[in-house]
Amino acid sequence: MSEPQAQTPPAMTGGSQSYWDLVWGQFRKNRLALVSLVVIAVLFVLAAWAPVLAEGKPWVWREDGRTSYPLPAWLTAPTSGMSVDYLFNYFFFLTLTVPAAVLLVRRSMRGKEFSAKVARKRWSLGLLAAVLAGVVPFIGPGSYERGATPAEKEAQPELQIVKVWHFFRRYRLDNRDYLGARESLSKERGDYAYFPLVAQDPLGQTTDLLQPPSSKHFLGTDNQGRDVLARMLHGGRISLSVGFVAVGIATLIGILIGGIAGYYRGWVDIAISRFIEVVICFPTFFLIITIIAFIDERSIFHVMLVIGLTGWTGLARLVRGEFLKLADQDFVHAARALGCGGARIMFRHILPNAMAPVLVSVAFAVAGAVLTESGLSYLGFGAPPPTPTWGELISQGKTHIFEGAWWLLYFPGFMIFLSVTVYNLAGDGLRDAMDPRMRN
Amino acid sequence: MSDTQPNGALLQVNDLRTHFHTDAGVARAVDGITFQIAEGECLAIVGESGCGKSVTSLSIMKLLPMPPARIASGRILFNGRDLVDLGQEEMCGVRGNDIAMIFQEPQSALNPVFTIGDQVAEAYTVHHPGTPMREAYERSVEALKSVGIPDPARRMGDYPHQLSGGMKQRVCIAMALICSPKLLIADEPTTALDVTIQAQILELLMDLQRKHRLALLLITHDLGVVAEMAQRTCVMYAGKIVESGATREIFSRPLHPYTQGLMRARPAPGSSQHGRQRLAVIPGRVPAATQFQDDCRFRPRCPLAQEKCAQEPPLEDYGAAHRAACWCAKREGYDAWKDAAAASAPKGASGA
Repeated sequence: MSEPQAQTPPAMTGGSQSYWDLVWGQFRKNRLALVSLVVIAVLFVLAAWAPVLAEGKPWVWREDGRTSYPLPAWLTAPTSGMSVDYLFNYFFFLTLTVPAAVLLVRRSMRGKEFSAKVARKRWSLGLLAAVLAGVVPFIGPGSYERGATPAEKEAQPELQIVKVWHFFRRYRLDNRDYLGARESLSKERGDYAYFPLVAQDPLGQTTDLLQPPSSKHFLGTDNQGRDVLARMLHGGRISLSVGFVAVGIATLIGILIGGIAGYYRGWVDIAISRFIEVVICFPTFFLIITIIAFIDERSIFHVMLVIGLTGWTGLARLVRGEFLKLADQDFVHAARALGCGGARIMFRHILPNAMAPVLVSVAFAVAGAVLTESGLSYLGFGAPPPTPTWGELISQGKTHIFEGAWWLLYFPGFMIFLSVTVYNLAGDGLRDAMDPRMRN
Repeated sequence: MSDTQPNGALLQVNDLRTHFHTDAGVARAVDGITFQIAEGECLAIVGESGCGKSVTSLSIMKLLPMPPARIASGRILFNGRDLVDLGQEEMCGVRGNDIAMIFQEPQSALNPVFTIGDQVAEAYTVHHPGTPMREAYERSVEALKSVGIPDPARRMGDYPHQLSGGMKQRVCIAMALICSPKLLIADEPTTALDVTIQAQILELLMDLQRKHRLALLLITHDLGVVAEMAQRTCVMYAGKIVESGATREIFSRPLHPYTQGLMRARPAPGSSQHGRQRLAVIPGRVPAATQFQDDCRFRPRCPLAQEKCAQEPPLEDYGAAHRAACWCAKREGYDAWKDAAAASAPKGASGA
């Protein structure tokens, strides 16, 4: 029998500290780790904002009394580039909607007392709205298809609300060289254009080959006259996504395989452990190069996939060890005594307890994957040519080292160094924060 | 003594043998035990560590890791259904739903990363999939209330480390009982708690047992707990039941030398005639389960050991369903340990 008063929401106790609250409390005390986390966040934002900061297309283009929005159209067009770009473009919208949601939720709760339950509800609603709002620019009838002229668009009657909604999308995406056309804009006609901060196309080839840093190209140009800063900003997308996607794949495989070995023990464990040992024996980097050499039309996803598929062994061993240890804990026996099945126990009861060391290992693995990707790109086995990556820039720097193209080595090299360092430092901080001996 | 003759047993364990196949040989941890529990009855299984008490309870739940462990023979009839034949999948439906269990250490029996509310609610939803969250929440609050947790709605959001040991054990009991099982197996439920909390938990268990007509299988080595809680008692030694019967009967007239030894080993204030006295002990210890012989397993430690004991004594009835497995148990009113001491006293000088 449930009585109505049982529904009274739990009041803010303030004392309810989950394990992660405690870890965060410790992590915060580590200055270096905190800075690293901030740097990682900045790297993410830079990657998400790459087209906004450095792109050859203008935000607004007015010519002959007609206004168009090439960059926004490009941002939301599914044909705008690789899927990595598409994803990061979505992240770009998230960097706008999430802070807005945070501000709104904060404001709505200002000066009022809320129970933890109501507050949690508001926060989750607000964040959900932000995540959904980030999708909005991408959906709806796309009139960005090449060849669709304004006249054709007007022939398709649209609801006014849809029109407003797809404000940006009504302008077609074209491959026009806006940077070149910029010169021909005439003030007398009232033409104007608003370009991103770094008005340089990361893919656009110019005749300024191997220029040192200047006021036009802040970090110089590469051997095809492409702006290094623009390429580096866009290359951050590749680096970050390879790091996280490859490690995500490796983590999934590692948790599954290691978890099964550790939970079921016996011959299952023996078989899986021997299999892991066999896989460990392959020299990973050469294995990756070999596999990639056999892929005909490789893309960055092949690189991610191969790094992920070869990088799970360490994690699987770690997870296996954790599962072996945790499967003997009383709460696991208790869960079994309550009638929980194997999968439920593995993933709901054991895995959350094993997450801490897994996360530390993931942080280090991300750093490793970023390095591997840079190495592959450096050797020419990474993303296919026009794609900007840090390793590819260094590779160019190597080729032109006697021409003194130091900007091709130092700037991308510094980015690789910085990102690998901050992932390691953050992982270090996480490990220290979870070490009970570090607690006072 | 209607308690001693349960008819319509809820759980009937017949000649259960649980063996572990280890590198050191076959460990016959539970070797042919038979007992039953009626609805609403409390049966205690007592014995030293290593006697197979916990293996018995885990065998009933089929929670033992099955490659090393094997139920070599026997039947575990629960409501007429033989649990030995059930697969793991079907057992998942029995565990928690029909038979629930609470463990010795509430400190480690709760998952540290989830709130109390999550865990209690899960105990319910595991057996009632598709329950709306609100209903599971309400039931959990109700369950926590029924085990005497103050301000249950607020405790729902707490993590296990925020509660005391007694509170945690109450949470465990709430989780065990949320699906209203018919049988609760309590494996040393109070061992890890301090004395005042022990009493509270025992009282709670008795209270719940009465309220829900719950059968309780109490595994313990604490004879005080047994005396207070159990209607019937089985004494286990080295994988076998050496004595069973009504608790009152066993306490007033222990027949097996082992039971008598356990009784003697209790600290009893004011019972000694010579003021302070050393606590009596049973010399030796339980043999390793791989070394069990086919004689009377208590023989190496028994003060009355004789030639006959090389054969295994059967569990014989000595009236009023009071059974004991000892060749010497026939004598009325004997005390194995005193008799043995008296007999060996003159020979003591010669170094026997």
